[in-house]
Amino acid sequence: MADFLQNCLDGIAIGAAYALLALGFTLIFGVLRRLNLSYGPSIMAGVFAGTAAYMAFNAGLAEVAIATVIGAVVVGAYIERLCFWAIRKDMAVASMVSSFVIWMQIEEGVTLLFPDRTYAFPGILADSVVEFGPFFLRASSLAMLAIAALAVLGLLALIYRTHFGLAVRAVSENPEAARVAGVNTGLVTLLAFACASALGGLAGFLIAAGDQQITPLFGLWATFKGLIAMMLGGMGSIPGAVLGGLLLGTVEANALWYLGVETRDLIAYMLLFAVLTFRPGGLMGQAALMARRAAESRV
Amino acid sequence: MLDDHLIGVLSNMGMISFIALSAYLVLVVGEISFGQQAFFAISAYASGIASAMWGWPFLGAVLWGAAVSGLAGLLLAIPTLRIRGLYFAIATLAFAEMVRLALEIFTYRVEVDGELVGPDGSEGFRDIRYIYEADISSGEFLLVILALLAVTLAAILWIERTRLGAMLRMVGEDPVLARLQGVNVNLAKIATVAAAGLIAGIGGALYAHLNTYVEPKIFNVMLGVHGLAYGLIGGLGTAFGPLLGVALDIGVLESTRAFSGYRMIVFGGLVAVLLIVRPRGLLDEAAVYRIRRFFVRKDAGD
Amino acid sequence: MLAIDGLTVRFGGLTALEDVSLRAAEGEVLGLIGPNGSGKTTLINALTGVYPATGRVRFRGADLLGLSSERIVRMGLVRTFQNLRVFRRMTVLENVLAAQNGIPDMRLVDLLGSRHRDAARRLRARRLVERVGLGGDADRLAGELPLASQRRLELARALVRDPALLLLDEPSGGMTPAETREMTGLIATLACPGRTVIVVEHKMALIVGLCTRLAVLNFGRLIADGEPTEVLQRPAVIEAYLGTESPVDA
Ligand SMILES: Nc1ncnc2c1ncn2[C@@H]1O[C@H](COP(=O)(O)OP(=O)(O)OP(=O)(O)O)[C@@H](O)[C@H]1O
Ligand SMILES: [Mg+2]
Repeated sequence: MADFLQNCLDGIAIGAAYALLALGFTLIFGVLRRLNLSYGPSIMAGVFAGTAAYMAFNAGLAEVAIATVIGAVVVGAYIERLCFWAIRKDMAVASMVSSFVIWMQIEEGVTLLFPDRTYAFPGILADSVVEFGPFFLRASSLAMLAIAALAVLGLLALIYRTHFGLAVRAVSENPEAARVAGVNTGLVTLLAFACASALGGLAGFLIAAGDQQITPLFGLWATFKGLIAMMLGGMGSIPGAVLGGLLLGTVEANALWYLGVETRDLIAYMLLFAVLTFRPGGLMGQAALMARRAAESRV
Repeated sequence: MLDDHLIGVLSNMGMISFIALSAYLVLVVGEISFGQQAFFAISAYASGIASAMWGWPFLGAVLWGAAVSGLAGLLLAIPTLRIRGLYFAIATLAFAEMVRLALEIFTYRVEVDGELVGPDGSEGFRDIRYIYEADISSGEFLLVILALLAVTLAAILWIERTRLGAMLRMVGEDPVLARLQGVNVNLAKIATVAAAGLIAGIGGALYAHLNTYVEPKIFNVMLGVHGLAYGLIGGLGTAFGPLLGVALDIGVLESTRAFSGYRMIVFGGLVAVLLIVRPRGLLDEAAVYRIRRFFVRKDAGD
Repeated sequence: MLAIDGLTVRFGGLTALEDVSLRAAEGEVLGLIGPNGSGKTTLINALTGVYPATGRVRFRGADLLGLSSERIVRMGLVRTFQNLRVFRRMTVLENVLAAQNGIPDMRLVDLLGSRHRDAARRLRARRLVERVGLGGDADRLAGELPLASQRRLELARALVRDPALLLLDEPSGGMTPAETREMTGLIATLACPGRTVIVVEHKMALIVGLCTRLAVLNFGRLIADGEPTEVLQRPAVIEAYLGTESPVDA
């Protein structure tokens, strides 16, 4: 029992990182109804920008964080223009494939610029641990959890309380109608993408700072973890992203403890497959998905 | 005489063509699969087990591998029937990763001639030595690959000319309309995904026997995405499309020194731009239609 | 031949069709009108198995509700679409040929016969394409055709199955007056003993010229059913159209 509880704490810790990644994913899906599989690699590129700042100018933490976010936003904007803006609105799958091949581009580009693969990243709170009786949690994880919670509140406020959020919701409901009503859909989409990338950059910064290192493989990891977490929670749902992240983290931590490392990833994918086939809307998005399906199947 | 390098390149092109054709079939019925590499892997293992551990003859092992991966295709097709588009694509991706990670654990070893052979988890599966034992040269094996590819291609091209082929394209373009023209859409999809599994399986069996060694990490999603991209580059109007894609990527990009180190940047950019300007590839339905008209007019129509 | 009883279709909270009962006799041309959103297309969708519905529909003695679309089509009930649906990446002739799936003289082995070789079916398809006035466009890609021609193609594609019940959803939608007149003439040639036609339309001239009976839907309910000119004079029908458009002068 104690093992299980400690596993759940570990799971919540890593789940907070997954939740942050899933939030950006879900934001993009929410606005565009399309999937950006290059989301992880764009974050990875941002983290490398941060590393470059750290190595070249011995930049402080704040500057590294800013460089990371800027890097992620720039690469995110490139993806948005090439894979989403330029591809016809009704071709969600073409955008997804396009974002997958751009992934290869980003990864190779980063490898060319940073040939040593593994680079140091400045750490924060890396070694401090918070204890709760017999249980403990890394302080950096706790910080991430807090930031994920703040990010959810911030996103909800942005989407439901601001003019920009109204425009985002309009574009996501019905892009044609939004355009007719005078919304600059291209700009709104680009900005939403930039928000997601900035959030991703922040997540990437926190995760890399916790690990104190970065490799190009981070892109793959971030895409898959964020994608699974988002799908578990329900594509397009903000609370679902957090729930999915925490669920994935807890399941993984327990699978790791009881079954071993290969089985951990296997179980994560089995969970994803089961959710997709039995409840494709995930924990929180089933009603929205069904409504969308009904609307799409109008004859 | 072909030199070894050329034989190697051509063999690779031949084997990857099976994945490309298999991803293409799924594209024809209107879905995207990121997971055809799973069938390649399943058959690589199954056929390797048959020939190296059970002592089966080569052709028997290939057919067995293809049959097992076709069955796996069936198992994937049934639960995913209710989902489409992004959801289907991600489900195939999850399925392929499940297969790969299961192979990381899968261990099944028996003693053959005093040595332990068989899949050994993440260590992979060594000593699929059929072509050494039968003393088959790489040039001869290339002929085997090309012969099987030709048979597969001919079968697909033939089906495309039949009413069955028209039916698959109807399902791909508009499933609701296809249903209202009397097409059993579910059956068409299940059969296609199973057939696609089988075709990828032929390639996987060849791969295992040519390399004598396979390990799970070869069959990662990048392999599947390449297979998928070939159809999207070459075109979805004819089965020659994916082969054109293979020729462009492996034949031109990979084999040309100018692109070494930048291949993914060029390839990624090429696919991304094509998806914008020609979303159904170079040889799309309209292009195939124009080519056919050009020839039909010359022999004075039907 | 067609007996609809208590047909109801709901989308979440919205009742698109409520307790509709309607008969169509063999060889009859029945008009179906109603203001926008009154449930005409929904009725066709329910009959062809596209949307789930409750109630009872009997077609030549067999129950239709709950059957899949492909089964229903194979029973001889064929439709066209208000918002055009053709296979844009196939030629006109291929569209018509492809629509022959599961017709009675089609056997399983025909699936693997070359679609270029079954000459009799090809000839029949070509004749139909000519009959709807697309002879010159037979080998063009359907997606390249103008709207009016695509509507004609839909008609040819429906006829190739030799339907016992033909459901036309706004066959002149989006057409110019001249095109509408041609389409009206074409539809007039379709009715024959053994074939029932149900036409959904907004253009009254077309309806009055073609139909032997007229049914009117409003807010998902059947509000009139009878002889066309008489039905159009009923106060309930005029009222249903008031504020949207008058049924008589359209
Ligand atoms: N798939 C669907 N999901 C939700 N509501 C639907 C769906 N299909 C139709 N409706 C609703 O049902 C009602 C009837 O629609 P229907 O398309 O049958 O009208 P119609 O009589 O064909 O109108 P029109 O003359 O404009 O074609 C409308 O309110 C419509 O919004
Ligand atoms: Mg309608």
